[in-house]
Amino acid sequence: MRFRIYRYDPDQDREPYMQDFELAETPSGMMLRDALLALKAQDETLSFRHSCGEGVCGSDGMNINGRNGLACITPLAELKEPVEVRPFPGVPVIRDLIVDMQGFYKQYRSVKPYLIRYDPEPEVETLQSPDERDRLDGLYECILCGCCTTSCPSFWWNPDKFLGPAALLQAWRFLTDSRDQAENDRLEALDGPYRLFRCHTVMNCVDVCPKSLNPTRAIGHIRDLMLKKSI
Amino acid sequence: MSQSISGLRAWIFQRITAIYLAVFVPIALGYLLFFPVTSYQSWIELLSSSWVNTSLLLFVFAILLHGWIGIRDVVIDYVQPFPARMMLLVLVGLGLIVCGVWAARILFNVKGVV
Repeated sequence: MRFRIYRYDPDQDREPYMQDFELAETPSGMMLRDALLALKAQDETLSFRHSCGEGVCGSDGMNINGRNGLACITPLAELKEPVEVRPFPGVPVIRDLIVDMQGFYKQYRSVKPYLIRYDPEPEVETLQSPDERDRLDGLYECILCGCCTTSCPSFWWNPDKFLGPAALLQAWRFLTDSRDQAENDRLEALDGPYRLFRCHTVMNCVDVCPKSLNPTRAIGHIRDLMLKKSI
Repeated sequence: MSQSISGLRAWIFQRITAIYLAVFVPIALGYLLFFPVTSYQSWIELLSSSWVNTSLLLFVFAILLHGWIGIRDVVIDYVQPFPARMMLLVLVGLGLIVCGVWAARILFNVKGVV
């Protein structure tokens, strides 16, 4: 199977280039991550992040044949040859397929992704009804791989100001959590022309999410809540 | 303008004006299809009805506001250098204001004629 892989080593290369690879054996069920590991055995300078190998850690997000995804859960059988593998678009490349995710994490941190309570700490757990718990489904599963945010044109244009789909999904995850008490502060922090409202519902995020989550819907919920609160 | 109409408010205005446009435009086009306006005099008569006049004025206002928010969105996305962005927004804003004043003058003058 043929591969074309983005290579860039800032210490040696003046600019990035695409390197062709060939893999003789691709057993059925082989995932792209396994293929990359086999190619790394051919050329050990090939660099990429990976860890769990089963779509849980979110380390091996990359652009595969033009579409962001996790290499470890992308079967080779689904890919057209030559398989073109690039780093995430719109973020700085550190080396080969490894990108700098600092901007992504900064936006994630800025939505305060944790419960905020103003009441004194209770003696027992803060309980939720089953319905309240259900509201978190489709939100808490995010593994922060960055596939959605780095496929979002609005994030490409304004990565320092627009929060991006992953951070906004988490913003809604805590806004809709019945135990959280910082709703007004959170909404206020999201208003303005950039942080939330750069989203033009392109829906690339929904298209690429390896966990089949729907950040666009979450963003819609935030807008609805803002609207309700403002009237 | 970009400070006062931003974020949530811009988003709401964009939707409200979109609804008005979506209702007004088909009705207006349908009307003109069934009752074609053939002469200058019949235009004057049509526009002198205060219903038509007011709804048309609202249409102009809605489309200018809708256009402003939309173009501003595009400019914020794609035009990053501040001077270029500022100049474009000022030009677009002035252009829209001129359009609005011009349309308003026409509509108000029709009322004056009759």
